[in-house]
Amino acid sequence: MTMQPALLSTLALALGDGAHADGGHAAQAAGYADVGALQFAKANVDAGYAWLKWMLLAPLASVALCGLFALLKVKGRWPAVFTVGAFATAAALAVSLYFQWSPTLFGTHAPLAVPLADWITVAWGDGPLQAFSVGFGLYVDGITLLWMLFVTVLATLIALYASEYMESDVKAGYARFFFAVSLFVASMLILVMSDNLVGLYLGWEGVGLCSYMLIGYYATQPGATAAAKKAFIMNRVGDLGLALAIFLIWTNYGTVSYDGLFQAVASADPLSAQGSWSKAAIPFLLLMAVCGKSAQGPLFTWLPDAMWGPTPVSALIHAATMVTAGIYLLARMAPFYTQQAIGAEWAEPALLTVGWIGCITAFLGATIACGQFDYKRVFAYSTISSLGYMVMGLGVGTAFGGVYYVFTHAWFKALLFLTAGAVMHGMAGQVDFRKLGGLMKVPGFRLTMVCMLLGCLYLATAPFSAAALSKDIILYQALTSPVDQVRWMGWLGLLTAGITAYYAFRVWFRLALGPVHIEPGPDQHGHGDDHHGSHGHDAHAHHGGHGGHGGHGGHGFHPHAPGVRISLVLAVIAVGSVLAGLPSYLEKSAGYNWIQRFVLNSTAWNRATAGPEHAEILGRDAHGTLFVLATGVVVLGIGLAWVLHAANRGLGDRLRASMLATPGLKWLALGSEHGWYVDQLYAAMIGVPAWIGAQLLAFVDRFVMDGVIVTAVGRIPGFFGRIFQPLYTGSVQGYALTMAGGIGLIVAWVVWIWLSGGAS
Amino acid sequence: MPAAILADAPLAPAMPATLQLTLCLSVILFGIGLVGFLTRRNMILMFLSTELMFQAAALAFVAFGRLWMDLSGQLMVIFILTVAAAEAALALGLVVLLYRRKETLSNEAWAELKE
Amino acid sequence: MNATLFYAAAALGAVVLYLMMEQRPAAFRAALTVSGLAAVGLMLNAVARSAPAPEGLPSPGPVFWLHVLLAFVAVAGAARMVTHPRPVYAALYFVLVILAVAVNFLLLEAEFMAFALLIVYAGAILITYLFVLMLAQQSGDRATRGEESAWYDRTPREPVAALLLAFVVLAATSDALFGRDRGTEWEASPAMTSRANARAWQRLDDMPGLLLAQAKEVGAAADDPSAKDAWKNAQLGVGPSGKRLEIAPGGERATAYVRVEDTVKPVELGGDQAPVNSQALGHALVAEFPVSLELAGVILLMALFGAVVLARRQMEMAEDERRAAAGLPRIGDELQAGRGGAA
Repeated sequence: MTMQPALLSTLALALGDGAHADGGHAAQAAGYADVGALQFAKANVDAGYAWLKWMLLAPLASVALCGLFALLKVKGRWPAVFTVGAFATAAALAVSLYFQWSPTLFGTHAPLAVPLADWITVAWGDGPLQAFSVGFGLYVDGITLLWMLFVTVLATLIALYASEYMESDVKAGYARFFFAVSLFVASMLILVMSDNLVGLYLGWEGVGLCSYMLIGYYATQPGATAAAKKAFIMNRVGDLGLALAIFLIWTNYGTVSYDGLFQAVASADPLSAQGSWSKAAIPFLLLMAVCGKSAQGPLFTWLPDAMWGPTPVSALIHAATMVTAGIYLLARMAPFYTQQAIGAEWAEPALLTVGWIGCITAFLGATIACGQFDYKRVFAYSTISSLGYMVMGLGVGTAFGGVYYVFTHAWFKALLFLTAGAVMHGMAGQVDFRKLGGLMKVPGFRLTMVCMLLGCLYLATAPFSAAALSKDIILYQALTSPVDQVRWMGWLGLLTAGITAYYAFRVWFRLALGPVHIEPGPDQHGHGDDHHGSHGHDAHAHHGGHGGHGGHGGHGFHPHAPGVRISLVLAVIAVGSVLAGLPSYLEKSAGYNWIQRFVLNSTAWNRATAGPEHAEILGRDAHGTLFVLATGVVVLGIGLAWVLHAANRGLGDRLRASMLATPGLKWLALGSEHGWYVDQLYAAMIGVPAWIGAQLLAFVDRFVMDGVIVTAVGRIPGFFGRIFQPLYTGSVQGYALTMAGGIGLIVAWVVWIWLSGGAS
Repeated sequence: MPAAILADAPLAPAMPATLQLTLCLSVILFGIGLVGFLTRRNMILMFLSTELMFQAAALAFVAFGRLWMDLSGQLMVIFILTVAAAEAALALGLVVLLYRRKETLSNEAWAELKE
Repeated sequence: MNATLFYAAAALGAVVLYLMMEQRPAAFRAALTVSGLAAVGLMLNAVARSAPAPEGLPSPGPVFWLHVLLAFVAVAGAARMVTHPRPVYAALYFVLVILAVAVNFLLLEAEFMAFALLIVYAGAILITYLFVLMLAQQSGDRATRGEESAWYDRTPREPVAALLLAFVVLAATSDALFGRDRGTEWEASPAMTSRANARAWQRLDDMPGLLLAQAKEVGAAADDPSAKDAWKNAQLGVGPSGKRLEIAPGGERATAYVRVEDTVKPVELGGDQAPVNSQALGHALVAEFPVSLELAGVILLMALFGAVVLARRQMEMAEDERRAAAGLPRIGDELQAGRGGAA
């Protein structure tokens, strides 16, 4: 991934002058928190691109149709057709937009704004902050376009994959699945394409909702529903941060539309932000949202549990798209992490917080992944770790690195999940790689394993791979930073890279190499009766390419090799992963980095840097040193994995056993396996007080409310009734006495009080 | 001030003292009637006490009519008498019927309108 | 009025009444009578002592003391009526009260009312009451306890509460009537007098027959005896002012105009010629309260209907069934049979 210093300077020159030809911008030296004066090009409002709305309407149409199918309980594969068709349409439109419009973007740096409809218009007063109006429109700049491209393409491919993967559910939840997937992609596109923060929030919530629906797709399994709730609630905690941030943005800048907002941020007086807590709170609240959505920091525990959902869901949502919404937010809101926006006092702490959260999450994710035996969970934790890298990238000041890694990560992580899904699908749901082995030799799985190898290589940031090229930008920026803390982040990131390599190949070596060993799983498709009922006959309508599907256990299990669609998709995504590195490969000849060009033409353009040109790591030239260090840790990691899991297959297990036996190291192994007990910690911190509170309230409700208050209130009429009961003697004279008594009182009152004018 | 017509003529104004005595008597009779109404258990005697109260009222009417030399007082008494007669007739009829049911004139026998 | 004395005397009277409610030995009863009458006397004293005495009116004469005596009689009768254990005696004491009140009416120059009271109340209503009492008499517990009256006539029902109540009502009412600064007019103003006089003459004018008779009588007496025949055929004439009766200012005298043999002669009428109580009352009933008169008639009619309805033969519930079970003919059949033949 070495970039020639000369090339880099050429790049800087080219970008510095060529790309910003209008002279309004100056090439920024990437200061850490201080990027100097902010300037943004005003969006180009062009209603001629209104056809972009079909990118949203196509998935929404699919939502409607799939929903109809689900409601009417129509069986059949049409929902998949609608979905794939809709996504393909969206992808085609995105590609056509790229070719049609991006030259304009790269020339003028002006984003495209397409107003579509009025949405909210309220005014409750005459003052400046007493009217609120947002429209529903599209705002396309560099990062938007990038997201549009890879989200739609990946969604199409994964939907095609899912159409085969979810075959067994055709009679049951097929339509529901594709309904949720379509809705998800629609929401995701709204999220990235909306022209204001409220639309972003709409999409944000939409993807959270669809994630809930899809994680809990196997609704009969309590683990799935619990995981869905957990994911949703943790997302919600993050959403609180986003909502508060939007409120503060509105109160400070008066608008939530990107166009006006960034102009306002650019023209705001930097001194006015000094000491302003509300402006300083915005980046932290946004970080909270990112933690929720992208499973960072304290809110990461939902992502491993999200593996209860079907694997295509994990691939699409929890690897490639939804979790990258947080990175999108950080990139979009990058101006808010600058000194001009929030003042010198808080700018650097904000960035450092972002960076540390990303870094520590990456490290945590990696360490936990080392102790997992469920390969899907390993990939889940690797997602957490990778997202940590992306967040760290934005925290150390390179949005380019973060976004580029998002792009490459989407491809190879999707690939990894899809291959894992293929293995699961074929092995009747076996997720424990200790019970599997030698799959390279199993007929029909060779392609899957090769794809998984590619994915693992990318995950491990093998040298010259696309992932490495992108991740190393982040590490470069971190290690060459003038700020001490940032450099520590870089070193930690490097260490994490090594651990990543280790656990990635731990999985692959165990799965692919060694003697063939298959223990079928419990068939976790969620409707085991279907397969139970098919003991002894091969009457499944499977497409060609493999043998029939037999029973379990004693029946002689035949793994179910992936079919055409799955294999096709795997192949395409594998190729895509490789091609994801093209921006770097073609940088020399093209003169620019394709991804960097996107970032340069977005709101994060001040951070579209690949790091300082001439810098030093450990006293030597930065580029070369980083290359050596990165490659070194990767090789070490893969080597360790080889030693423990490939060359001596049982060595890893024996090592673990011995660790468990050693009192000092037992915690290391167990902690790693149990995710450092973060879940249990949360349960204790939140669950236990909640339970105590609930018991207390239940007690209060039962004894105080019901027992005392309600009963007391219920007794009041009886009490008063019993006071007057003795009057009802039934005797006429008794009544006459009381009547006469009343009359006497009235007469007395009239004569002595009323007629005397109040004085007795 | 015109000379009053002879004291034994119907239009002579009355002496305040006499009138006050009469009114005082009326009030006392009314009180006693009230006591009788509330204490006697015999149904008929209850009604009789109400008649006593009527009497007291009639006396008061006539007294004030005499004071203000207005015949309306006595006219009211005529009507009081009429109503008292009608009421006595009906009341006694009812009392007889009630007596037939329970063979007793006591009020306590009819304490059925209770919880 | 002397409020303290009045209330104290009233309290004493209440206590006496309370004590009278139970059977007492004779001596005690005598003492109670005396103290009761004393209480009444004190009350009357408290009221009358402070009455204003307008000029031109004679000081308390025999009429005043007659009033006091009547008060004693009435109150004693009422008290005994309310406390006597035997109902018939109570009714008779009530008659005594009526008598006292009737004499009172006479003293108040309401002669018609006095006798109407006697006739209607004592003569009709009380007789009815006595009939019913005697019909519904219970023989008492003579066999077991030697009493001659039923238990429910002997024992009062919550006397203390009743007496207290009556005391409060009495105190309030008397304060309203007699209290100082209550604005009760105890004297007839001169305007009131002349208006009353005018009213009386107006009544006479409304009764031409009576007017003529009175005028003829006075005129004939005033004229010489030779004109007696002329006076006999006199008719009412019209005076110079156009009216046949002119009321002098102050209303004490009036002038009637009688035409005697083609000459209109004025006749001076005095208080003696004003209509007496019965005549005035009759006229007032018809002239001023005709609707009330009719309504009173209607009320009596209703009472008549009610009494007839109540007096009809009352059937017990399911009496028909019981008679059928006992083998007796039904009520309707019996009546029909009584009419002499099956239906």
